[in-house]
Amino acid sequence: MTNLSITINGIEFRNPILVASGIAGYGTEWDGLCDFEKLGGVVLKGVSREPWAGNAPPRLAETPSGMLNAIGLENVGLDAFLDEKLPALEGLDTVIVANVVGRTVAEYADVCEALDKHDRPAALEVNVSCPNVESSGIAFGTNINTLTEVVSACRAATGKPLWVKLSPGVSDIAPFAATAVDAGADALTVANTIPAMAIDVESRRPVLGNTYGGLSGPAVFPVALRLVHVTAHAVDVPIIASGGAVGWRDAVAFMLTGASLVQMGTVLFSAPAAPEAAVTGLAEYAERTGFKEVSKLVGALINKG
Amino acid sequence: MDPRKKNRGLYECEITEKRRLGPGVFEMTLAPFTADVRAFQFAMVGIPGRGDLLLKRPLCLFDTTPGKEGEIKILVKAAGEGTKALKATPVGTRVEVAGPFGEPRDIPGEHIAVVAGGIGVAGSYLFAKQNAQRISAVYFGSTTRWDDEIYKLLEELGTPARIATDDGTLGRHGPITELLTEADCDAVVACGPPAMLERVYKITAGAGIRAYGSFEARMACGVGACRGCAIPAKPEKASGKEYLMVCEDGPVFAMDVIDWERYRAAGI
Ligand SMILES: Cc1cc2nc3c(=O)[nH]c(=O)nc-3n(C[C@H](O)[C@H](O)[C@H](O)COP(=O)(O)OP(=O)(O)OC[C@H]3O[C@@H](n4cnc5c(N)ncnc54)[C@H](O)[C@@H]3O)c2cc1C
Ligand SMILES: Cc1cc2nc3c(=O)[nH]c(=O)nc-3n(C[C@H](O)[C@H](O)[C@H](O)COP(=O)(O)O)c2cc1C
Ligand code: FES
Repeated sequence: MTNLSITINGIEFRNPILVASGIAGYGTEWDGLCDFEKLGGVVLKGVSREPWAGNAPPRLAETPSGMLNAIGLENVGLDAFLDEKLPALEGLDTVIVANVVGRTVAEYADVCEALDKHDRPAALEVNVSCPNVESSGIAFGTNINTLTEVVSACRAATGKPLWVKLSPGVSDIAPFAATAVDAGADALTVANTIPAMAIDVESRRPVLGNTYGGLSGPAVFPVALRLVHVTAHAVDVPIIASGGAVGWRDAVAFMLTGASLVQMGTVLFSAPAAPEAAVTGLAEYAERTGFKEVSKLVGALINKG
Repeated sequence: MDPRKKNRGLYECEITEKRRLGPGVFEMTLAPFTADVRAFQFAMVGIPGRGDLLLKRPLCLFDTTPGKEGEIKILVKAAGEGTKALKATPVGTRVEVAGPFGEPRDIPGEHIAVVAGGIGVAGSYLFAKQNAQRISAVYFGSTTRWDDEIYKLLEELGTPARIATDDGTLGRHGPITELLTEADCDAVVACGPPAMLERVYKITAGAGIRAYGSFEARMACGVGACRGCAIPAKPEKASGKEYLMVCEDGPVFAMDVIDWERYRAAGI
């Protein structure tokens, strides 16, 4: 029997497959369709200090082998998250990771501080792709200075493992990865949706209410794979891959390039059973290729030349 | 677990029958589908053989036979790429179906007028069937005449049917909502294009009749997780919320809850 478990930052995951933030909801929405107890864990919807209403619709657009979303990080806010959402997960036997969003550095820090006191989230994943309202709406994670500020503030606010979810919308991810680690990140999630847009040529209007959205799904997998590869060479902390994985083959590829864990998101919309199938497929692959522990796959890529 | 969630599942269905019911409209029977279904609930239906079309399509459950030998019927209008591909899919093909989703809402009223615009008949039909005793009439309008079978199905409901077509090929010449102004009813439930829903809202609000509409939005998950299917609401009527989720809170809403101006501006 292959040992599928992975331990990073002192947290043991029963296998390397997680459901990504924004797709897993608050952990109960997929009941009866996707069994999170068969997976390594789930990352909950991003939570902000106050409730956010989200963007004007349409919030979704389908693109070839992908999709755009401009949800606008609609969420119930910290109070309802702590009082209603986390308690609802009491019986759920899987690792819970909270995802943190904010419009200012102080908002991020406040959310981290409040979550730090709650025993359920095993780790905090910070989404640094939010627009910074104090700096003309530029995403925190696309500027070295604001990335440093936000990660440092979150680090100071929590003793829990801190994952920083990097933005892919930068010319070179390596310095951003190094910056996040220097500022206190215990692990890096690589990456997030890719800034994109869609137009309805008949109406000559953008499809999304927000004009711009984020591209996800299998269309982004090769991009995410390269970003994981580059990041793995730039830093020594564990990497959690996110972007376009649909099955075990993608999970193996992510792990070979250096990811310890693999998040699956958009694929749940086409196949809610895909994460579970990926776990089975991953076990079969490891068995077939003689890896007794899947953790040994991490970084086992044979590089060219 | 929430009892509604216990009833739902993921089905690997086979298309067992397919027939045309109108211009660009066909009925598809899918089995097995064992769950109980309430009117206006919907399923998320995958497009077989089109891996590039990631998202499942939300489709109303037109008719249902629950239980071990259970099946569902859906009514599909070939609108864009996905529904066109579904139309071309032969009997015997396997289709991934998730559901039933949507809040099974009770519509109060003893003389309910059911208004269906075009493909909106997909949801309205099951409502009329499941609530036959409380229906004053079914109003069905379309741009042009559909096939005889659909009118026969409506007749078999045993409730009065009022028909209109925009081009006058059957029934009253003009929009179905014109017939509604003469309706004798204490509630209206409508399913159809946004402009028709808004017209129904204006007519009923003027007459002081409670109205409900089944609304559409682009969907990814269908279960309330992604927050993609937002519809603008009047916060004072929606527990302070600016948006409601069509998949989770709907698809049927009391029409006075909707912020029509923002809804119109958004398009679908
Ligand atoms: C609750 C609900 C019930 C519905 N019931 C039926 C039904 O019984 N029969 C039927 O024929 N149609 C129904 N629709 C509309 C149907 O979902 C769309 O026509 C269909 O998704 C269009 O897909 P497409 O690939 O043909 O079009 P495309 O325009 O190529 O689709 C692109 C994307 O936009 C989405 N989209 C486009 N138009 C709509 C729309 N009007 N509503 C929701 N999503 C849309 C698609 O799902 C897809 O993700 C329903 C919609 C909802 C929300
Ligand atoms: C509808 C939707 C909502 C999302 N919401 C969040 C979010 O709240 N926080 C976050 O960090 N990432 C969010 N994401 C990004 C995903 O977690 C993931 O990184 C991205 O979709 C790429 O992976 P995938 O191709 O497997 O979906 C969201 C993605 C989608 C599609
Ligand atoms: S479709 Fe995902 S929340 Fe409604």
